[in-house]
Amino acid sequence: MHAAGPGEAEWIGLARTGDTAAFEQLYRRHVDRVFGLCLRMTRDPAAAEDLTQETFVSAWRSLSAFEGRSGFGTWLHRIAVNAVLASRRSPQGRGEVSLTDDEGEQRDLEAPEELDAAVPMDLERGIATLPEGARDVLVLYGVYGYSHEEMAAMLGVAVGTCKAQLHRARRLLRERMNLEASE
Amino acid sequence: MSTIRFGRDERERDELLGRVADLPAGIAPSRDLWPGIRARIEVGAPAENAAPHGLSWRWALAAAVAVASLSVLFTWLAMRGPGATHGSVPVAATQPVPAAAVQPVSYENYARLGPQYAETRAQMLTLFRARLATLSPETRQRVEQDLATIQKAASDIDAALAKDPSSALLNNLLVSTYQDEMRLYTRVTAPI
Repeated sequence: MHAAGPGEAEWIGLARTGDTAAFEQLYRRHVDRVFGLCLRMTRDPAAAEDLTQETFVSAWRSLSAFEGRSGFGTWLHRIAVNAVLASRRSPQGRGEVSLTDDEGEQRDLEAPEELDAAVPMDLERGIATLPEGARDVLVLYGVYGYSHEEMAAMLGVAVGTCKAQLHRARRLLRERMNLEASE
Repeated sequence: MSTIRFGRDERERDELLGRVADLPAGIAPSRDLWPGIRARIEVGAPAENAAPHGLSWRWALAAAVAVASLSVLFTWLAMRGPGATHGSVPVAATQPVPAAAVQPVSYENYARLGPQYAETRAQMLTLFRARLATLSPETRQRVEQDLATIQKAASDIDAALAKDPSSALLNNLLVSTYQDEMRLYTRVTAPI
């Protein structure tokens, strides 16, 4: 997704030797995309900041394992997705409020006001109100351009599940934004 | 990165997906996160934190599976075995070793344990140590072996995560060790 730009390979090489200044360059280049993903998956800016930090700390500790088969940004995104998923399963959880009750009915939810004011809020709000699984897939697929196969690997689910969740996300998003189906 | 044709076509023909794709991928955090990251990574260079050569996540998997069975089964059996004693036994009468000698599991680099979990675990640990002190040496030894097994699994998984931090399986296994540890405390402190 995010091709290695000028200097990135060199920064990675230097960071592997323990050069934190080089790693800071990598951080500066990728932090917004990592934070954007974490924020959209969690809807919680504080949690997203924590998870973004976790992502970069994990990446630093594991730089020797980065083989360059995918882009560095994609590798970071995989780590970030795992950090988000692990935080949801962790004992303390992140306190994310389910948007549906036990019977699958939608609960009322206020928009995440902390999102950047420059972002088209209606669409972001609509995405934020989606159920967790549907939201994850829509964000990864729609915003970040991953394939179903890539999403399935990241999320630890079947490809068919990703496709079903995407279909669900599109349907719910249309309903919530009062759009006519374009299919 | 490869993007399959199906996905690209779908994004192109669906107006709503097209609008989603136009959203900015990057959102700037409200503060600079780098100082916090730097403070944590300056503890050691990447190579210093890498997993020991040859360590496979499969070993972590095997260890974690062992934990799941050991910590539940052994403790359960031990607490109900003939060597077990009950909560009414005075601590001083059966337990000469200080309870503080029993340490909780240390999760090292990849743990994501928040303050709420830490507080709950500390409370459970207090009860666990008190209860442990009332058990027979044999039962207590089994419990401590379970705790050591969980510690080994947590350390192995942590080391494996250093090589593959994006592994969903390893992250799940790490979470399972949190649960195993708490399950062990619960088993030991539960009324018989």
